[in-house]
Amino acid sequence: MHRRTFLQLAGAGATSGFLTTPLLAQGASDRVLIVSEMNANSLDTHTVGANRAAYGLVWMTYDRLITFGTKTLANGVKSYDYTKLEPQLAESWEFAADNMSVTFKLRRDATFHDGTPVRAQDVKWSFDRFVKVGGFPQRQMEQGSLSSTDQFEVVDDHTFRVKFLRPDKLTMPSLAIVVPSVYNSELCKKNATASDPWALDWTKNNSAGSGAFKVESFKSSEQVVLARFDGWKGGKLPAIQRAMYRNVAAAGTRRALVEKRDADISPDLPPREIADIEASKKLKVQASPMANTLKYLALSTIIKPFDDVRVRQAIAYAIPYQKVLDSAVFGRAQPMFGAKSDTPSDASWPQPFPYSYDPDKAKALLKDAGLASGFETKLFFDAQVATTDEPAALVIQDELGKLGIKIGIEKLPDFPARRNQKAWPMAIDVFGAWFDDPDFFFRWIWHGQNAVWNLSSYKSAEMDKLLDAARQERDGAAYASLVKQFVKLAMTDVPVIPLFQPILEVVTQPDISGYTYMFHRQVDATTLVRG
Amino acid sequence: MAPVFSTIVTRLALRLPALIGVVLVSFALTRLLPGDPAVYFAGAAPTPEAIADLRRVLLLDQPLYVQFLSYVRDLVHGNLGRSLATGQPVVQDLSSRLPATLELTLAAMTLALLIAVPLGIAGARHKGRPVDHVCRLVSTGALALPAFFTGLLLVFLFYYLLGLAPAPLGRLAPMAFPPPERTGFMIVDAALARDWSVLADAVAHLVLPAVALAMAAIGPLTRVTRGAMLGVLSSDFIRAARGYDLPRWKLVYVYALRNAMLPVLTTIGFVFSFLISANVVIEKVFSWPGIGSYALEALVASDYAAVQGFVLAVATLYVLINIAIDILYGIVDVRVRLGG
Repeated sequence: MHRRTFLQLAGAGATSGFLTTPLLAQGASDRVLIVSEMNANSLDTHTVGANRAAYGLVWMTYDRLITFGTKTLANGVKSYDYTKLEPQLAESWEFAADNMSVTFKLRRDATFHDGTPVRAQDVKWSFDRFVKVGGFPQRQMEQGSLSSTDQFEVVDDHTFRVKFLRPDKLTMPSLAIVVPSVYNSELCKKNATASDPWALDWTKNNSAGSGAFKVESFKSSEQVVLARFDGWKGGKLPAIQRAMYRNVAAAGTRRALVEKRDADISPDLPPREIADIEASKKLKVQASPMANTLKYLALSTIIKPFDDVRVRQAIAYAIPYQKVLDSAVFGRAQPMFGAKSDTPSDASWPQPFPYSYDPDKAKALLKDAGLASGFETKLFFDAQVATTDEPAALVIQDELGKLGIKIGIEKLPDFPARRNQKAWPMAIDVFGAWFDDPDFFFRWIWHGQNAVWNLSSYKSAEMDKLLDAARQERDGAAYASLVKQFVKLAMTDVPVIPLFQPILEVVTQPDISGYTYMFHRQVDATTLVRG
Repeated sequence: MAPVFSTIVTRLALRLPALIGVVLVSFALTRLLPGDPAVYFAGAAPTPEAIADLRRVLLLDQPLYVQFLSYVRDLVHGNLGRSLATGQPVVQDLSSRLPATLELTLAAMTLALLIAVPLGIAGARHKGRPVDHVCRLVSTGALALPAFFTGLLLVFLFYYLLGLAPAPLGRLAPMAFPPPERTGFMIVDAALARDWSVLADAVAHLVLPAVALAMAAIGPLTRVTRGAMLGVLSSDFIRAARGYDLPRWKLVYVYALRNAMLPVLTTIGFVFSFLISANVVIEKVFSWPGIGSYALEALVASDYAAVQGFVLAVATLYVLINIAIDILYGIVDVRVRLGG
């Protein structure tokens, strides 16, 4: 309430065109200040509990063997390109004739921040590390079939081989994500102890990489100052010399800071504020759909009456999608409804489902299922994202009420911890996958392995067969055909009804260009250009 | 000095059960709260195995009494555990952040006293006259404004509109170099380092949050000062003193005020405790790197060690403040004997 009052006042101030005196932003063409709600809590993603901001930080302070290319989205915003793998510390790589290993040639001129040359032994040590330290790094790399130290082999100082456990198309992209960063092994070993052989306690507060930026100062969760590493060989030298990432908890304060030009970038303002900022046209808003991420309504296939596919389809026709979109995120997301045909025309993902708001169809389907007079059920959502999910839940409750379906709304503070109980008839949830392959996303939500994200407890022999085949398939056309089949199945069975694909909107000063959407969703200062 | 010292020791010993209670309650409460740290920290798309790994590391798979015993064992060794959110030992987090909170709270308290006490005295001396109405208006007004709102309003007015205040980005300008740390109090450290530009910067950053926080304290302090002064001014000994024709200022500020100080001191104790909790929101608005904003983030993340550490630190602070107030009682009022 109070915050809103302030923002209205703030909005009024902005439109009155008050002259503002910048403190920091001006006159410092090689610096940027980025303010966000979350700041890195560790300098190393291998440490327990490293947060998402730490992924973005490690992305800049360390290098990988390979990295993702870039592309330009339809709206002109740049984005990483999952389909393009480019050299970073490796200058080239070659697959073995039997396709069961890949050999990387390392660049000879790359050095760590302390001047030590990067060698294959460092890569080996770093890769062994993510296998051995357990927790998130190990589990994440397992997804790409990289789970044994025997897979990593030093051929010579500048040649490194990765043996494959099985054909898996996630193995190569896995090498370009944040986890398999290359650490300065000699430096780390010097700081290792008997109880901490991988020097995790040390790398939590110290950086040992060869990345584009060096850590100048680090206050966990509070602020990080990065200085450009002028000897960087992992890509084009950044235009920015110093980047400061600063935690500012209140969204109102973040907005005031960018509007006053005291901060350059705010990557996580709420949709409402973004709408105001865009209307005032003084700042740039760079929007990109969150790759492979969906907000959806899950219907439990093991709880009556949603075990009946007709009831699930009825719900899919009864949801006023546009209204949900407008009330939850002020229309600032990609619609996922209203596809013309119930057969996917391409293998893209996420793609709109062939449902749109049609109460008559919903009524007919319910009548078919013998539920013409409606029923009672419950809808659950996560209290931590109540700002978007609560309005969505209310709209759904209201609309289904017209069909005689009485919904009790349950807002859970411990929603994430209770996902695995699979006890919710209806639930609003969000899922984002690390890899862009459609089958990777599907594996978590629709596969019979019943991962924690499969809130519908959906199980279908046909779906499992298609997904297992897709995981192994390397041929592009055959893969696309499999994708179309399992997407169609998901559309017909609708255990999960997509509500929308969230978008990431980053507010920047007008003189800042080069912003590139990354899969880790943090602002990458390497790409930024000022003026 | 010896009796004062022994008083402190006995008082501390007397408060020990309270602290033990705090340890128990904070442990139980964090476990009762919804939320699962293992799920929260397992990353963006946690697998059940990753969550189980974390549970093992955090001892969450152990029965509660085992968790409690290990917590107490660590506590005895001065180890409050490690915060998951910041990745640092909680003791280190708290000790690096506590000075920021104390600096802000003390500044707000001083400011509030400078306004509230004279205002309360003036109100009492001129009861029913315009100055008394001003006194009542200020105290009620200040009480009616929630700290969060005052904070945002001040930012809006003095930073956003007028451009008089620096950006609400903590204790110093973003790219400024902090003075070498000696006390942790930015203003003191800057003065010790004779770095006047940093001192000015630190003061400029302190003003708005301190004013916002002081607003929360002005209300009760003004009311209590006024009430106590009214009582004392109409008492027999003051009337007698008046009869002796003592100077007016001596009458009011020495004899009357000293006697009216007791309830004011009690209120200061209350208000100080209250300010530490009000800090939580003020720190959020001004990105102030204190223990309040730290606790808030820890609570959201179910960061048990950090929350327990915060509760314990604040409880200890309360105990210390109470002891200090007790000792001040004795100094202000000879009837309250030390150690009595």
